[in-house]
Amino acid sequence: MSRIIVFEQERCTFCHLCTLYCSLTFSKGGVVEARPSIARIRVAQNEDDTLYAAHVCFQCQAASCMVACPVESCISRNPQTNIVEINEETCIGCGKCVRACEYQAVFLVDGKAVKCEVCEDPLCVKACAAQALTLAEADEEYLEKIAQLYKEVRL
Amino acid sequence: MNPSTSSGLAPSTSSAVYGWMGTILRVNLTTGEIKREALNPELARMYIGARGLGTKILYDELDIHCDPLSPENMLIFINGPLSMTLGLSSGRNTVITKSPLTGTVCSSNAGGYFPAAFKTAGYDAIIFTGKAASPVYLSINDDKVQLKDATPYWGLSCVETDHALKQTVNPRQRSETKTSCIGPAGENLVRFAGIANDGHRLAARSGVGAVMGSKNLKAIVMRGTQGIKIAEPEEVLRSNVIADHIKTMDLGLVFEEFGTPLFVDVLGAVNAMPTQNFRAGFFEDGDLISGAAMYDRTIIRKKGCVACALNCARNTRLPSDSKYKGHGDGPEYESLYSFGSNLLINDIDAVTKMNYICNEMGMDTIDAGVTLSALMELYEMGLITEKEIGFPLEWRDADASIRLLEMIAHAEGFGKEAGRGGRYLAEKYGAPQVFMGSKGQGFSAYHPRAMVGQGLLFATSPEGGNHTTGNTIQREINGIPEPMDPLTPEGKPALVKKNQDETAFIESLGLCVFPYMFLENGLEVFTDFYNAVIGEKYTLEETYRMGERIFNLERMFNARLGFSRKDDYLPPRLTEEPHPEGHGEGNVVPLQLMLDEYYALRGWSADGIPTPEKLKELGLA
Repeated sequence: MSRIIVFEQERCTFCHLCTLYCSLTFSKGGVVEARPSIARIRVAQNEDDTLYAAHVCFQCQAASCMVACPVESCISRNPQTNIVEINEETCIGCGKCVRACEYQAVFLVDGKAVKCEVCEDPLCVKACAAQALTLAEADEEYLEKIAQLYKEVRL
Repeated sequence: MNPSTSSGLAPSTSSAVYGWMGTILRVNLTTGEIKREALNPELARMYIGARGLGTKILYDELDIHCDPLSPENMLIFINGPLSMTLGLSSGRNTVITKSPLTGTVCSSNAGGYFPAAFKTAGYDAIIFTGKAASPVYLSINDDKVQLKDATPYWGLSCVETDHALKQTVNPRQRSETKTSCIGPAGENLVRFAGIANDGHRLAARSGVGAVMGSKNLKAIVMRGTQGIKIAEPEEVLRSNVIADHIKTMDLGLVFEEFGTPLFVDVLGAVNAMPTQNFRAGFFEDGDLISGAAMYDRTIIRKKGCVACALNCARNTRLPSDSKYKGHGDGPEYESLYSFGSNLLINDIDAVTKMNYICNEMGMDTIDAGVTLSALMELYEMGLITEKEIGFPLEWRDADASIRLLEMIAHAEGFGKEAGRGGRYLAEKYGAPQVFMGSKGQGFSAYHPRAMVGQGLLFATSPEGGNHTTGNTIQREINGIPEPMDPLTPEGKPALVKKNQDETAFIESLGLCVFPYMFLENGLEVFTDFYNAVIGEKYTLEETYRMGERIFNLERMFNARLGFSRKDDYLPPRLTEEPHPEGHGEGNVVPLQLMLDEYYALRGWSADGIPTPEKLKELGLA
């Protein structure tokens, strides 16, 4: 198993700091920006505000993003780390992977598909004051639970 | 939280503008014209943003003698350069206008999630002038800005408006779309109507919602995808360590657990929780409306505003065995006082319900409560009767209070008159002394006879009874950084001046004041962050001076309208009636004594007007 960003729903306080800090990592052009719209983790709440979800790729085995991608050598699983990676060079920005991901964990940013590819020392985890995010190996029970949550609490 | 700050983020290298977005939007509601203009960098340097810059714009552009509810008034929604940049409560936006409650300049701010959309849409401020012919809302999706028909939403509660607009506008980006709106109270020009972010977090005070209603502006709906540029990101990430530090402080730990309701215990213990229209400072049933009582009955989960690590908000729901129904946010401490101890109501369900009504209707809980308590005292004195109100209004009567709140919001029957606020009612019915406020705005939940510095703060705040412009609780009650006798005037003028000037700086950065209040060295911490975000090297003296300049500018706005020492007023209950038994027994607020020293420290005349020398020193002449 690889290490992924693990999200504990019960601890989340919906403060959005994970999205804000994630975006710092992926700023471009020599300027660091707090820009949630480029983040690879995004937060949502349900209608009556009782459930929160930080949508972040959990590197699922089905990887419907990989299946949906029409470009060879764009989305692939890294055999060493088990992380699903998007090749920015070859991505054509068609958005098929974004629509295919039933967990809403792939995003289109400035014409390219992006998703969490698990930073070595992730800022989202550091930012999470509520300690709802950790960098850890996940068990089957977690994967089932998180898949259900992402289907229930939509962006 | 992981206290490590090393992120590998290099400093930004471009010559871009950091912190500010660089654009101001002007919306003339009479003509429908929408214009963009560049932020004036000189004004931003002098007045920063949010409270400071908004006040400067109002000061320069408003015909200050205008009727606050006329089309001539301006309504300014504004961010600060630090809004949405760090985890120390930076998700905040401010609303500035001439207040219909006090006739002064006022600034009211709110958190929630709307501030995120506002700033990332790319604007430092949105300035509304004029009045729309029929209800409209402003829809903003980055640089696409449109005024649209709001007739279908007029009359809806804030929560309903938020839901309905999110369904209609940008349905495919629902979770990124945020609203700020008024409810029926703002539409009906209730003088203490507020503006609700996300349906239930209000820029509550001073009647900013009535100004929005007077302009036929129902809501702003925003979505943004822009970024806020940060010069020294590594430094900004240190905010995590500071937030962590706050949460390990004794008070911070309890705050984290209970949020603001913890103050029911803190202030009750020193006879400083205003009770029965400020007759007393201790509510014997306080434990029934405390944070612990809320955990027993209503709290579902903790939540935070956007970009805040402190999480003082509480998602609540009335339980199924309750007489009342509803769910939402809060109540916060201020509402536990205004509808609880202040009215002698000891039923947490009823207080929660009254809080929900105010949120849904878009109304300030503090002034709503102070208006009710003034009426209850007038009723007790026989100066107002069942005939005028329509029903009896005794102390402790939760159902009558709920009924009257709804009548106020909908301007029904006596509610229309009650919506003009406590000062108006107390004067009209012949007992002006029963209104517990200053400059027309009701006091918040700190009894000045038990903390006389807070009394000086209330008297000298630009918009009257306001606890957020320099709250003295940390020093007077919690003894941080060192104890100070809350009952005596010694040192209070200097404390209040310092808190007011520093708070003016913090609020102009576009931040919530909570982290500043908790920290012993708040000015230093936020001076560092300001420098890190915008890439400057301001000293503590310079940032303190910015705050002092802004506070004096507000004073000058009011002075131009004739406000002076006579308006730095506290009711005789606070300055003449002795505090009842317990901590501070027999105490009164020695206001005039403190004012003399305070004006001298400020460099103001004995009548409370900034001297020409002071204005010159601050760059205001």
